[in-house]
Amino acid sequence: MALKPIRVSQLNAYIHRILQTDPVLGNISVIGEISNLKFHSSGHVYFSLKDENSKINCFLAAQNLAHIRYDLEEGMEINALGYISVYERGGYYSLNVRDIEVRGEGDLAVKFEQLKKKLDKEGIFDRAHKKEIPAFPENIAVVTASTGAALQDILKIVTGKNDYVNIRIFPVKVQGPGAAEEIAEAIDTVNAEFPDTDVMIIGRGGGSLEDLWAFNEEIVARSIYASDIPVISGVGHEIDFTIADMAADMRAETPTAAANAAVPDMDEIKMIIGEARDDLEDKIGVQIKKREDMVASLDIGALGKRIDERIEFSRLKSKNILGQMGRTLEGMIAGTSLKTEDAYHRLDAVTAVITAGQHRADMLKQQLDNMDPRNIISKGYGAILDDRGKMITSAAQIKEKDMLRIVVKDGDADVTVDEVRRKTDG
Amino acid sequence: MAEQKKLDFEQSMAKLEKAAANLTKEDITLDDAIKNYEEGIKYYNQCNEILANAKQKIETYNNKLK
Repeated sequence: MALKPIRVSQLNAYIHRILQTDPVLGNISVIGEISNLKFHSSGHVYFSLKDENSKINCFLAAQNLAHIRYDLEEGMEINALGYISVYERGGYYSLNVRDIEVRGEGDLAVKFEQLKKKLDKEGIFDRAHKKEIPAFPENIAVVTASTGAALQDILKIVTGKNDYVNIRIFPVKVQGPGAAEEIAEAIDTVNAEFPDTDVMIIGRGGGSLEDLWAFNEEIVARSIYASDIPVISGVGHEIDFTIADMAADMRAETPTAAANAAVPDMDEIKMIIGEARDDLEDKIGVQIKKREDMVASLDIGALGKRIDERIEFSRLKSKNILGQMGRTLEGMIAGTSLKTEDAYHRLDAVTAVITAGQHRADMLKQQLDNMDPRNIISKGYGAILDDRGKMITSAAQIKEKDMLRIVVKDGDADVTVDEVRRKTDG
Repeated sequence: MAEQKKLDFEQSMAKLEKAAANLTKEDITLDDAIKNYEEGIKYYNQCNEILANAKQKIETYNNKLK
């Protein structure tokens, strides 16, 4: 029953015609996983679509790629919509793709991941860009729905702990069409018209991924990034993580947590100020105590001064005695009829007494000089003082970690005791 | 107005803390120590005064009404 032999090109042309006119193959949606993905420099995309058992070559023209919302990736589960075309010269067929829908985790999850990746690459989430939340805000702005529980929660928390900060409420739609635009616009408005706002809370209460979606829109992330005013996001519950959260200067788990993070507790502020004052008092106390200790440690100098005075006093005293003796002697010589020889003899005796007295005075001075701590120190000895400026004379006075002061002739040094070795008896 | 006040509080607080920090300097003279102490007390009083004058306002700005 075979027809007469035909040429290869005739066969391929025939197959081409058959496939192209088939109603199913002309408009088909194929489920599969992307592999061998290649972006050609012409802008066209080539890949294979496969399942566990089979695969088909796919071609996506540049003009079709342009209106596909997703970034194609290796391993991505998709529905490829298109038609089967035949490449006659090569004798093979492929799927000519017109549009792609992403399957698997679902549309929103994929969009989320893709936007996250894109903004991350741009640095929208960079830690370095994040602004600090001021410790003591004067004005805060709240961007949320006027009817939501979130606003009530925020107001309750803020007014409950802080009776100082002014609250500016900017009502916006937080879900549905146009919500993202309203949120972004409110953020821009606060920046443009209320630049003295110290911190901004954006958020809403819990809901489904779709409900929270406005906070995953690019326009919101960009407004947050552009905001000069620090933004705290509080969207949904703890488990909800939005693009807005990542772009914000601070992510709070819920609107309530955002309110808590935005303003300080006034009682705490008052306590901190009180503590700062106590700290000031303590420190001036330490400074004064330090002076007292310094005066106490100057006892060495004071002691030296007293010794000087004592030396001077004894010098004066011995001088007086000598002077007196001399005068007495002169009187004796002048006023008596003693024989000169006798007189000279007596004079010698008196001189001997005087010399002995002078010698004793010198000895005394020498002894006192030896006792002067400054003289001892000038020889290279040092004194060790405890924290009250008292001399250490025994290892029993020293404990480990004690702070001691070493005084040498031209200064002093504070030291800490590492180890104490006491000589034991016997 | 609010901006001015805010600077006052944060500055006062910062200066109060700075005064206390200055007091821990090893080489501070007694005169400077006393001066810092007195300044600290002055800023402490300023902080308290600002807090005592708290007048919280809550306002709603409806974009659509503009």
